[in-house]
Amino acid sequence: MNTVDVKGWGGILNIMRNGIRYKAIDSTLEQITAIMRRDICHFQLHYTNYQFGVSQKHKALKDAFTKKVDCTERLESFINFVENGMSVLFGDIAGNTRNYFDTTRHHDTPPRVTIYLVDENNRLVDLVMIPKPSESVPDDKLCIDNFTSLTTVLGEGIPYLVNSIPAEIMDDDSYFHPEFDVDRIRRSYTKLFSDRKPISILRNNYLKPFIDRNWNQMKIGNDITINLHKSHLVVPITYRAHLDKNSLNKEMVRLLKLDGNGRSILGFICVDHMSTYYFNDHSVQSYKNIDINILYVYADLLSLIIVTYLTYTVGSSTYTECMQTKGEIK
Amino acid sequence: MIKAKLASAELEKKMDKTANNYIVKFSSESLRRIRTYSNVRNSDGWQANMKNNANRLSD
Repeated sequence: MNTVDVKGWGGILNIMRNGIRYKAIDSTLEQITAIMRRDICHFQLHYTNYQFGVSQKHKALKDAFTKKVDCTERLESFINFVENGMSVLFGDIAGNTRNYFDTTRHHDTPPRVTIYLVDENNRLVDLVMIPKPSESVPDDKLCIDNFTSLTTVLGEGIPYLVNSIPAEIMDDDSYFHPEFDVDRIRRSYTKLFSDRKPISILRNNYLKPFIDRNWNQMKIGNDITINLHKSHLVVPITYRAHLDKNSLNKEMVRLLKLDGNGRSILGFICVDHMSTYYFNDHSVQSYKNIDINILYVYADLLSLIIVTYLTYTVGSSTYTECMQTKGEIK
Repeated sequence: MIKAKLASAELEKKMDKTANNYIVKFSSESLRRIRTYSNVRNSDGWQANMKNNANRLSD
């Protein structure tokens, strides 16, 4: 036990005022809907500017291409705008996601939020990671097949939630994740009594964060991380209704090279936290899981940015031909 | 009362698992550049950068 301590008089007053709360999320309906209203309003403004800006840059590119004048400068300007804007909007949503978790619970440390997309070589790319750790998973390990969480999401099409990674690794022989030395954990780590659900939730709500130094040494490699995560949640960025009703525009599905027969997963939004039972514990398939409901909203906003990006790049004959002329794509 | 019951029934529904899922793949060059943009803005700088970004996106 290192830094276990009640959060000063504030924590005690909190208990006296509100009684003991036994839930991962401690927020009112007003607070949660206010967060969503503010974040969607913010997104509405910046996405509108992005979408309009991309269409204008694309129009300028198309004009030059049609008139057969050199379009190098306009192509660079277009690519810079569409990619830089995507990075900005992704960062905003990752920041908003982090803020949602930070605001709706009492833990002193906010979670890490990562947005992953996959490239043509089947490699995962962490487009945004907040906060960025000093040392993350090596690039050669970044592949869906190396993560139980991502293979499960891809295989079953539902979110993935583990509220106690130490217990999951020790109880499930098939669990793998490139950040954890799973063999060493199974061999030498002892699960903490205080990581059980009731104690975890009370600790997260009322005590200062507990640093588990033994757990922090279980990261793969020699690096001892400050806060190796103990719980994580992954939600796919996807069009779920498309699969149920086959209602995504067929021409768009063809143009963007999506799979008309299956469900296209555009990427993943992942949230990791250093504490056990940080997330709402309802089934990932249930609408009662508030964290997953909220993460799906952010994932759906991300899908709009991605589809705009795809529409004006791989979905655009002007862009494709300009890139072919430059020799950037075949 | 009926509405409340309907809303409650909606909450009890569960998402079904789906087998036919397909991952969309993106240009590695493009993702590399986007990631570089993201890394340039450090985690604490996102909010501070937003105003500038908003102006830039409005250009």
